[in-house]
Amino acid sequence: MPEVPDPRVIDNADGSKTIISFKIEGGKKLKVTQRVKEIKITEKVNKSIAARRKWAKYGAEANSPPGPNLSTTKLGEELHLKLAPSLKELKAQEAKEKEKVKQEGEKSLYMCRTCGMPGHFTSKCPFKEMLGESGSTEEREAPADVATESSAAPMATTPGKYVPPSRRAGGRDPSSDAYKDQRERDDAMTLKITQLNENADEMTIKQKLLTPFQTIPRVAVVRNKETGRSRGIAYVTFSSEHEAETALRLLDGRGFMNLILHAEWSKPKK
Amino acid sequence: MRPIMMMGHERSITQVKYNREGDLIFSCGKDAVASVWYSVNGERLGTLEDGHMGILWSIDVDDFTEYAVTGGGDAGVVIWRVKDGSKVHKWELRSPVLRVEFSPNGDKLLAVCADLMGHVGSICIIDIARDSANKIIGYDEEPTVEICTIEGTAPVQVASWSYDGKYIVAGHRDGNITKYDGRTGQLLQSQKLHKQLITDIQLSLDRTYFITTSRDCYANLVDVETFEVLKSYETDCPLNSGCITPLKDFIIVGGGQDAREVTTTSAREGKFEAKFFHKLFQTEIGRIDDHFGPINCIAVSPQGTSYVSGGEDGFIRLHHFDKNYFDFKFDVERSADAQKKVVVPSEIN
Repeated sequence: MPEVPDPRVIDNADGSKTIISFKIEGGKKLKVTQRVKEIKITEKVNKSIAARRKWAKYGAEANSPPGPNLSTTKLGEELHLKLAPSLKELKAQEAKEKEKVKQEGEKSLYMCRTCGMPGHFTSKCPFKEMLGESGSTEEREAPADVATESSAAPMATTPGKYVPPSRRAGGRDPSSDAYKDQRERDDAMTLKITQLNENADEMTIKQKLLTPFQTIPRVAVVRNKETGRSRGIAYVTFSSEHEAETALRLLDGRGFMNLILHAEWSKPKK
Repeated sequence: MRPIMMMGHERSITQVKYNREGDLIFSCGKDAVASVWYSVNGERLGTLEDGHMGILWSIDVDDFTEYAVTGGGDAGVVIWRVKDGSKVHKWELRSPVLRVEFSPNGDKLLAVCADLMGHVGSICIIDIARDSANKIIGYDEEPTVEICTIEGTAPVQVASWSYDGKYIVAGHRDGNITKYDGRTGQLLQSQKLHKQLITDIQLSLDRTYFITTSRDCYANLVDVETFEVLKSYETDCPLNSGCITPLKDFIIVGGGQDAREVTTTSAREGKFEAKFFHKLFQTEIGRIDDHFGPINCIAVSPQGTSYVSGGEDGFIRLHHFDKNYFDFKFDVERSADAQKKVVVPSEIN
């Protein structure tokens, strides 16, 4: 039987420990290297509560092992306590959310090819009479100058021929402005906050810095891709332009976590 | 948040209580067994068994978490040692006991006796002797004071001690509330507050005001000293229990239609939600709907971080509040806070 050396513990410079141990498994000698960082977490508990935590169980639980008994203690379903100033508002809020989800669902599900509006099928388009079953006004004009424009707008004039969705009547051109708007976020309500403390993450900003503001849809801290460390810049989107303006006045030049913040309107990317 | 379901009882829950530090929950139900639970994870510490012969109507724990007391349909009042679940003493009173409670310093015990078995209904005050370490060293066999129902008035349903054990406030079958002297049992004040039976009375943390809930769908806040109605809350269903949350200015009430009517209507009409009201603005601010039956009892931890509800369905649900509960504020509160914050940077400069 080969000898197994004692495990070695090396203290690293960054406070972590490297433990190198050897073991024999299936006749092979294996070297196990573990890197461990010890963190001491202190939790303050009332003395009497700590004493009660150590009490032995009794009655029907006398012989149960420590920890919750699955036959008596179960986790319920996740639920959200939504709070609003009044029940009416609460209900209105819920209805609004439902409506939004419904609308979004419909939008992604289908869209009318005649008029390009979501929410109804092509066959049920209210503008059918005006625009024609599957063609638009430009299509009707197309036959007039067939000679010049035939290659640009072959469209559905010849039935049975495949037309890519982007070229169909009512279809949207992927390079059009409509798509461009979706790619770029609306920056009107966004502030760029610089000179932030490196240790301030999204949660701290939300909870410590932006508490006066009711709803903040988005806080994004710019981080180094590799190390994940904050670069001291954050983009904060507010729910209204007015709110963003108040925040700009409030935050610019204000001290936060030992640094003086600088806030400005976020500029769109070039 | 995810509620913790505690399913230690075979029949409906009649009362739930926190101890003073909020780490233990005491519950009792109609199955003659009381349970003690850890509030942090819903683990059951043990059961208090072999003390009663029938329904347990009420449970309480003293401020030192040394002893618990239960009162039941067998007219018994039993004191238990919380640490090991052993029985300390049992009194046999004259009729079923609807409510028991230790006085704030633990040297007295009140028991509400029902108007059954030829008894007119009463509040019994029993003296308990304790040593300096709060251990019980002796007790009177007979109630020291018995406040019997005055002829022509409705019998008492619930009662609770005020601060220092100075007064006892009681709710009656006909919706009256009364105040008695905690030592002599003398009637001090009486007031018609509700139209129907008062189902629960719970005091605030400092025991200077209390909430009453009634089957007439109303809950009221009443000051102990002046007996003045401070606030009134209207709901859409009969109420069984209510509590005042520390930390936040809310109240939580729960109820639902009568248990015997449940089978004839759908659960949707049951209104089995726990309803959150703002204590000062008196508007309903939220609901939690998770019981299958009416909520019989609600208690909030003295730290204000969790609440527990027991239902007719036999389940106890423990809810630890999440962040949005603590963050929630009315616009007026928020703007007041924001103004305070705006002032701060200019002061630094």
